[in-house]
Amino acid sequence: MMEPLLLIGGAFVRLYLMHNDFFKNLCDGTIFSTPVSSWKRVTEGSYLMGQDISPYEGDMVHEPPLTLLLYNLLLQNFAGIVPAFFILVDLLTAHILKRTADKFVQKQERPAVRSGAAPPSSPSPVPLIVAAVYLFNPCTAVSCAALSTAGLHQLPLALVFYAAVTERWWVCLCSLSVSCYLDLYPVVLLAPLLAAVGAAGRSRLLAALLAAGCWAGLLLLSAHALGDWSFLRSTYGFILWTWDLSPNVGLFWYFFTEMFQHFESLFIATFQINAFIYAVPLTLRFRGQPVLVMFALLVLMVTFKSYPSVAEAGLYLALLPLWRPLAPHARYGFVVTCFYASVMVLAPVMWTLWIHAGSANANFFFAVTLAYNAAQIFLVTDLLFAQLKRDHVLTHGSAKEVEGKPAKLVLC
Amino acid sequence: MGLLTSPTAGGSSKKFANILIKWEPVVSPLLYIAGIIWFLALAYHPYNAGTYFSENALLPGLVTNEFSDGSELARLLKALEAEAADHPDTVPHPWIRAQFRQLGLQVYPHNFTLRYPLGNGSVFHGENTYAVLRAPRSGSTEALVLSAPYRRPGAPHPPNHAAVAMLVALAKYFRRQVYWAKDIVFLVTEHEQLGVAAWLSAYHQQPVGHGLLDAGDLPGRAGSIQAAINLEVESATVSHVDVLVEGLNGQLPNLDLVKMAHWICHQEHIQHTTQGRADHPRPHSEAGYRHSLQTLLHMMASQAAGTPTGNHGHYLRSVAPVEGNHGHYLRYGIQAVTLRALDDRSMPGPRSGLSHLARVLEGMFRSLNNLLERFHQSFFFYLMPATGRYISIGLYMPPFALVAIGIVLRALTCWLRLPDTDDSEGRQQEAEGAESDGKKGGNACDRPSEPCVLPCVLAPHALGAVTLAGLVPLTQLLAAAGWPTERAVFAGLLTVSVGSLLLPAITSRRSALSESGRLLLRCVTLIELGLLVFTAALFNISLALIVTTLYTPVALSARYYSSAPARLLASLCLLLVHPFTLQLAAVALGAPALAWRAVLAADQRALAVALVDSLVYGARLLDVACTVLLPLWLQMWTLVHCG
Repeated sequence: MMEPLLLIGGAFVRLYLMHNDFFKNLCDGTIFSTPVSSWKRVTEGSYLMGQDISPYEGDMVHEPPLTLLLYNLLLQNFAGIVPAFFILVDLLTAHILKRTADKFVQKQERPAVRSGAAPPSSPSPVPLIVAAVYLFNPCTAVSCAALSTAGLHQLPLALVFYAAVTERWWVCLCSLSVSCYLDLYPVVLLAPLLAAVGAAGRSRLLAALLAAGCWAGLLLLSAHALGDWSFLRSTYGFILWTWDLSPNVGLFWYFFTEMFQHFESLFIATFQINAFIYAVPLTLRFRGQPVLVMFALLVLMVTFKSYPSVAEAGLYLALLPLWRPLAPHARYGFVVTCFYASVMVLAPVMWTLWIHAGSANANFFFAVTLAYNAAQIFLVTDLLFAQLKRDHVLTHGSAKEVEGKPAKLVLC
Repeated sequence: MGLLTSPTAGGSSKKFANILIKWEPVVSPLLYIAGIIWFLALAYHPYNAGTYFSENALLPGLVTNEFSDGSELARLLKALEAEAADHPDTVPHPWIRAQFRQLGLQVYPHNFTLRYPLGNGSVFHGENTYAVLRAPRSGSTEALVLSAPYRRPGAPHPPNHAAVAMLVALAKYFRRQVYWAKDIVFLVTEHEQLGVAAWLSAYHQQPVGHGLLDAGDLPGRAGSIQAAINLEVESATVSHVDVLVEGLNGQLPNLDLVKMAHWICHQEHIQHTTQGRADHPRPHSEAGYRHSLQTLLHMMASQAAGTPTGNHGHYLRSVAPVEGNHGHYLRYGIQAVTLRALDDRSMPGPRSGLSHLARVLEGMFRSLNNLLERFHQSFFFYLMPATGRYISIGLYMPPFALVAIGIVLRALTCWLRLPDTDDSEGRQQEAEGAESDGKKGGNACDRPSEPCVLPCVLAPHALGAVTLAGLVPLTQLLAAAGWPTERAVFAGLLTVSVGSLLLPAITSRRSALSESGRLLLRCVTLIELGLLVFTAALFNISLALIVTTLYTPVALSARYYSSAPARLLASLCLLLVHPFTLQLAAVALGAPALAWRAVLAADQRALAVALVDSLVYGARLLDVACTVLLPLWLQMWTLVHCG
């Protein structure tokens, strides 16, 4: 009953934001749309296609070919329903996230209920919270109002989580390849997924081949549709080499604006490696919890990718309530919450002061993005540490005493 | 990633928490007092800094200013005054345009229309005239603006004919010079701020005022505007020049420009003031300190109002209101000041003539002409306790942080004092939902027995948003019943303010707050308040400091008291800092006499003006007061009254 209400509410919020001058002005900022997800660039690409010019010839369009074709189709034939399309995509993502949470909570509760340790409780509110956070999070709502194509990128990612929780590996790997095709970075999720596939008794090699094949198929299809492979440079090349240093909420732009050309490739490699390097160690350390590892990797990916936008943060923030059982072991809940709240207020403020009023400068906005990324790192380390502590408590009991003195769990 | 049990680290965080909980109630008030003392001390000469030129390209005063055509100026003024007397109901645009055209300048008209949104809704038309002097030494890529508002006889403001005459005389002089590297735009506006706002909106093709202000398009343009000087000259003899700096929403022009204005006045031996106050001869003395403190407080009062007027003009209706038209340039990133030349009998010292003032303007424009890039050095965030002194953001932020830090510390202790139950995550979610403007709501009440804090946070915010959105329809509705707009706005806000006092009764009937629920509500309220004041400090330090100084004590003491007298006292303190009361107090402070009828009338007018400012110009004071400050106040009111 509650879910349709939430969905309608979410749709209304987005419609309202689309028609509000204040937010329209806010949206021209790159907080909500980066070069890879900006709607303006998509319309440019669509126009170029209409003129029989390859959209990837210039340095304007970085949208993958298949989605560009889809948007082109929309713009040519049903330009009026584009906002409705983005709203529908967001609602669908919210619905999938809610279903994911449903299954996840059921799975968590089942052993306890079965063993009689806990009475079958009333339905958990967590799934509704998940949907509500996704729908009413200002990050996702304003991004949707800005027609950021990052909204569409979240859909296959949400599907990956859903399929992973429900153990539909086939769907899971296919949507992962779609997600990789759109954005490249989600490939890190392959590590925990392969581990989970192995744990479920299926062949890892087959799964990897399936994902790779699906991805290759999408690339071939794109090349076939366009007639050449020039899009690779404008999409993946653009993401990996980070040519556009216009400001966003990520870590790249400020650093590389200051960087001497000579060292650029070394530091690009160093920065990019962060988005990928944690996949294997985390998978090995948290063997039994593929969803937790996927979540942690998602946060790290959003932190370390070259063109992050807050729309991507919306996805993991929505999934955060799934880790409620870890909350008693988390230490920095208050700090992280305050960080997120202040960043959410200060980022548009600093942007306005810098770009519109001209009173502040780039350092003001950069300071906020640093705080934002620090908050993300705090969140993910705190969460993983909480999981370790919870495991410890489950096996050793909650008394923490060494030789009669109170002790504390520390990382080593 | 492994785990160790460390016996040495045992309970250290708890120890820290206990120390904080024990000492915070003592430390916060001490820091608050220390912050205020520190801030007040900043007005003392040795504790602030002297203004200096950071932008070397300005090269101020390296040339001798040569304007000497005083007789021409007098002739023009006389002619304009005669023209104005002949046409008391219109602006003598034909005369002004003819003068500029004779000089060979490109002259254009600009028409604009305002659909007044309140009450019955009437339509105002206006017309500006502007003339462009093309730079002989470069393409039209950059421009400077010299503007003056034209005031009809009988307007509430003193006539400004001398400034318009000065524009023409300067245009004639500038026309003969060869060194201009930037276009110079001479702009004569109508309807005070509205004319400037409309012209800038049309110049930049950037709509303002939610579609209420139809600025149209301009027939001709100059380059990108680098700086602007707005001129107001009240009489033909000048005792001193007041430099007005405060812009819309408390934005300030670059300190280099302000310094330049003062410096060139100083060079030309014209007395110059800030906030209408000259410097004290002995700034190190106690009297000197008191003098600069008063200047500082004057500046803070006018900056806090957030409207581009010096000396909080809206409220001081007995003396002529000061309209700082420069304030609208700032929002387009154009650095601008208003020079207001007046003949004040109480001001000692020699009087200067108009040609003297013209030489000041000549000097300023020749300086600005040297600019190689936009103003970007020096300070954009500062306070001025004297004409040549400034307190930069680095100096005023630490004392401000001390005043406000109590809010954050108390929020932290409230959080630490929350009982350690299993659902701190739920709380975190809740807090998150509340702070991001209640948008992420819908996740309280994890268990039926859990207290519901969310309604106590969401209801006031919703009320605030509805109030703001409902004001315009309300005036239209009441206008049909014959109510004037001013009274309608006042009545609407008063009804909401009084009616919302019953909010705790309604929300607490639905769900009584437990001890931990109240702590959580305090925590959320304090965090939101902290966010508000620290954010406001970035835009408008004066407003932020005033609000913080008033709200920190009540926010720290806002909780449920079991004894009735204490509760009554807390309620009284809260009522004293209600946004509505504060507005009334600000008006009463500015009013010349404390006759309650006059104050009430002034307050009604001020509220209506604030609403128009918000709708047409984009001043955000009323918006923030309705959607953030009022809800926060209501949350504190709930805290005091929810047993």
